[in-house]
Amino acid sequence: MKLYKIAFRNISRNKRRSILSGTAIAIAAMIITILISLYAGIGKDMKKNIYTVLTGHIRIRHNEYDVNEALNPLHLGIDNYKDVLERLENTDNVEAVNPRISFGTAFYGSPRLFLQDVKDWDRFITLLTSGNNPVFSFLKEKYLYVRERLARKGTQIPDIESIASNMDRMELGDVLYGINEVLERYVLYDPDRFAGISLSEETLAYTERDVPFEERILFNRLALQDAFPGLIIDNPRSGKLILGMGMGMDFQKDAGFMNLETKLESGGIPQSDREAREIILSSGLAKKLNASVGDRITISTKTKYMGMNGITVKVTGIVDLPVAMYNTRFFFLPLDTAQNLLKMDDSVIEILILLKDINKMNTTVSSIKNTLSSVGITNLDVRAWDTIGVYPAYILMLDIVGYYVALFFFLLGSTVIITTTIMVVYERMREIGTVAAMGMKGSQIVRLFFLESFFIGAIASIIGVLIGSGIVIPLGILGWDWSEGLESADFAMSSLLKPAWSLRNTIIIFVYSTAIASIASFFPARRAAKIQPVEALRAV
Amino acid sequence: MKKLFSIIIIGLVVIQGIFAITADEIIKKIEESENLSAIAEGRFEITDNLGTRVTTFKSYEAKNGDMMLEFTNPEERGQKILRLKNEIYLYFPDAVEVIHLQGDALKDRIVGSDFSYEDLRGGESLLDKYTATLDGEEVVDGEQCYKILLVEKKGAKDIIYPKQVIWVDKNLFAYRKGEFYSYSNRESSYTIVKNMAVLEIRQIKGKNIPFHIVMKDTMKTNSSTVFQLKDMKIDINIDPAIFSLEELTW
Repeated sequence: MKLYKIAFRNISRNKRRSILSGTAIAIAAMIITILISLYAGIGKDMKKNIYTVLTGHIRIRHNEYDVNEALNPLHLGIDNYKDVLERLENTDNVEAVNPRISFGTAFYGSPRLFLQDVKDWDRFITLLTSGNNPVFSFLKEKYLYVRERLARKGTQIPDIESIASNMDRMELGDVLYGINEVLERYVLYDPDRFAGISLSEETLAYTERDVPFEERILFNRLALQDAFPGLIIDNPRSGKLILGMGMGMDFQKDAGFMNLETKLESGGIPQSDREAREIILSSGLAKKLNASVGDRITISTKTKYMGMNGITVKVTGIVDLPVAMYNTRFFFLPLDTAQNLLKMDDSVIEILILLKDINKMNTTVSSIKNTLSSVGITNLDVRAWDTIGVYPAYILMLDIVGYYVALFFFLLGSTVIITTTIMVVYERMREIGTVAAMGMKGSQIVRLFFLESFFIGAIASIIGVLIGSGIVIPLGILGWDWSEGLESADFAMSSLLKPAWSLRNTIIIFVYSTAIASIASFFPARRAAKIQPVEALRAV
Repeated sequence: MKKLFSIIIIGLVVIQGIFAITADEIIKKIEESENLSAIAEGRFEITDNLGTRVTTFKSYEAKNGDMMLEFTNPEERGQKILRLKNEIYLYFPDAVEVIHLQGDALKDRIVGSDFSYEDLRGGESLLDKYTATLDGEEVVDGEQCYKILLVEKKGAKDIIYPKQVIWVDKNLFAYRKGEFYSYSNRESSYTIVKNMAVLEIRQIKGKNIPFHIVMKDTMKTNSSTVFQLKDMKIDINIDPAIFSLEELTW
């Protein structure tokens, strides 16, 4: 009888033992498959996040900017950036370019009402438009006056007659702008207007003194909460300093980079018009501010000249960014709005470039340098993404950690496979003695055990990598949400982690697991084969 | 004879002591001179690593110390700083809300100059916050000056500089020079953070007004700001609405 047939027969004869050893090998192969895919996914994801959001494949900046970056040196920008942009767009292998200005900012903890601060808009609008309630009649009267005054300044807000609950968010935001102007300037409270309304202690304290301008809106919010319970909420921004990271960019040139248009959760892309003063908020930042599309938010920041400037911007969209670190801090505005806010004139901080063929990165860097120096631009630093700051170190560290983790799990898996196989061989000493007594040669015994382990190893490894792949492939499509754990993490990893399954890795894991199981049987089987049949038969 | 001579000497010392001016009195005299309503126009000439640039302004000051400064140069046109008592508010033409400056934001530089917003804070006399000591007399730019040491009083709030040294013109009772200190690592020692030189004092309606000041932030290299008044009208009626937050936002 051929050895492989005996091996198969032995495997099926001792089903429980075969299943047990096979299960150990399968579990090891499955875990290795999942972990390797997870690490490959993290690495791929981080690389993509870094070059689409932060660096491009190639980044151009003023050559002194990086050294002074901690000081936010907006004066070290790329002047006349449109000329540079045009030259870059005409360079070989350049797929896309995007000029950007990044800057830190503080959101003013505004006491004004935001759209989501009003819990029941239908009721609010009914009260405002019907004129039946004395408090809202006063609000309506003042709204009309404010509307007139704003119109004189060139700002239009909807007429009271056109206010309806089915207005879109941007129009509703305009109505709220007018209401906030009223709440900021006038005191709603009047003993007659609030007759029969029970006021809280905090509100009563305001009624007993002359309320200065800066406190009127707070007083009005409290009075409205007392008079109309459930209509508005407490000010969620009060006293909070909320920091954000602004990114001025050309939204028309964003394709391939952040692709913000595809990440819109609500609303749309801002107009590229500095008079429109529009922004997009990341969803995490919007949550912190309790802001939504249509709201007006005031931000302040330091200009190129290190003086302060402030601007009130209208939220036109909310984007859900994959990286938690970006999604809780970033907001985006048109380049010219950022230039106006930061007094940057016609300059930008950096230009990011995406390449058609990333393998030609170094030659493209040289080509760009030559193009720029040929027109006398010598103060710019052109860098490939893998030479910028800490990012390459991050990726390298991730790769190294990945290799060690893989090695660790391979060794751990190997230990399981080897132990299981050795135990099986020793368990079968009596059987070895019997077949040896029956005349089977030592080399045949070794081959028999090798073949048994090989078959069990191969079948178990296939099952293991298949189960692992069965877990990893759908996760690679659907993703695994780590957003809560990564919210405060300071690295460019997406909250929705997608393992990267690859056929190559799967085959390597299969071959490795099978080989380890087969080789593991070799040494104990060889030792067993050398034992005299009588001794082997004496074994348990 | 010897006794008489001693009495005369002691008498002279006592008389000098009685008529000698104290540091507190000098400070009060300066603050009296600062107590005025005024409209002024002027400029900041700011020199730093970016080069030199000029911002111009128009300012309004009420007798109670409230002040409104509006920038008039094209880059900052329309930006306003309002000081009400000890509080600073900023108005930016593109913002619908006035920003109430608090905490560390007060340390920010006014239009990038060597003056910070906290330099503008007022509302109280220096003597409410500092213990003043006369530290002799020195000549500054050819003028005899009192040198006064100001050290923060225990428990005083909102102190910008825990220690100041000021040189006050002996005849004009106006600042000639100033050194402003912050705490260094240990609370008992100080580091100079700014120094100020008054290069020109003009007399308007009996009040001595510093017209030309150079301020240097010593923590910044190659940085200095020249503050120069072009014109100043004092003791005139100013519409109180100018100092109102409400008016600022309309």
